[in-house]
Amino acid sequence: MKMKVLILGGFLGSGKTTLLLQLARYMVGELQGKSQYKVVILENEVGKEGIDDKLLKGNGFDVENMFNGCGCCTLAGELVGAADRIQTLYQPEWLIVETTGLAYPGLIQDNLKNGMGIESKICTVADASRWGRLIKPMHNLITGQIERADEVLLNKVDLVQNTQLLKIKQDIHRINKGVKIFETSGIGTVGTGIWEKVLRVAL
Amino acid sequence: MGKGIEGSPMNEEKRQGDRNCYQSDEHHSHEHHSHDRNKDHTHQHEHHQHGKCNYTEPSGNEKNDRLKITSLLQDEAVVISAECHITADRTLIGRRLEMKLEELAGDIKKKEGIIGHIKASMEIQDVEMYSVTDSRVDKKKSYLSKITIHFASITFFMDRQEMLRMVNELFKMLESN
Repeated sequence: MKMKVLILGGFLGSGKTTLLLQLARYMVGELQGKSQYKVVILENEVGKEGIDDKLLKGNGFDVENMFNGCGCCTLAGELVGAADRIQTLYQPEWLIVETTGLAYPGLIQDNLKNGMGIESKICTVADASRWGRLIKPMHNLITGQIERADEVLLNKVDLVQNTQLLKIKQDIHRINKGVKIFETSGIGTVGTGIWEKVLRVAL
Repeated sequence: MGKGIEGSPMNEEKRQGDRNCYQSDEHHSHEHHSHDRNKDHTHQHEHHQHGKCNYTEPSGNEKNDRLKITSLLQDEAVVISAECHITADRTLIGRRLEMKLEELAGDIKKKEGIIGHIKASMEIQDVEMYSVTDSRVDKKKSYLSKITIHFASITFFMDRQEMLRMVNELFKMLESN
């Protein structure tokens, strides 16, 4: 069976790992009481040391790591090699690539397509609580992370007023017209309906 | 499961794709010292297609058995990684770590830096020994824990050397009596 790939991107501190934990638990069936998918997570961290991978492994998930660079550029070769090895060794139904907060998910998508002929889906996490503070100084990076997203998880909505949320969604749609935006809060439980939509891929 | 894959050093290959992570050769690697973040300002470096990757080789700062700190620049982000080994009371170290991380965050904001993220993990090893010489099992437990702390920070508009100094100081204060 062909491995499906979800690229989970988004700026630093947006809540990718927190949401990934919930998504992974949903996928392996913990939230429904029955096993659903075989999942492997590929963690990319730009620093020399991994931190999020330990948390994910501590929660019982299968995790491969790429440290010391970014899968969209410096570790592009390693990314393809890692994905290929994961497919061969584990034959998972799903591979989730959690990017670094500095990565452009679109480039990772291109690397996987060019290197392995694998199609993938991009889900980008946006930080509602820091959007106003970051959108100007980090404009290029945040734009680059959203513009090719298939879905955006607008996270930490519990920390933001509704009027601000509306403005943020308008900003996001200016970057990526018509992209589906789901409001999430990592401190609560994300509804399984959202995960069903995120995973529904026409690959 | 979970086998690590070490990253490659500076990658000089040209990149294909709609957008490059890194700027072209002209990209400078200067530090940002002062910056008006209220201006209508975008990330200063435009990303060019087919440019070289702007990745600075990690440089080690402190390298000894107990503490290792490295730093690198990626675009304008200062990336600090550290690994520290301590034998101490886990609750005390946990509390101190929390306090020191908050102080670090506060200092970065005071210097008008932007925090991408600051993360740390603690791996804790306790030893329990069980022995029998007659009929009853005697149990002994170490009262201190072997603690490994992994630290990672990514900040913007901060001086790399200053960040190194601050992280170094954080770990020194963590262990102090």
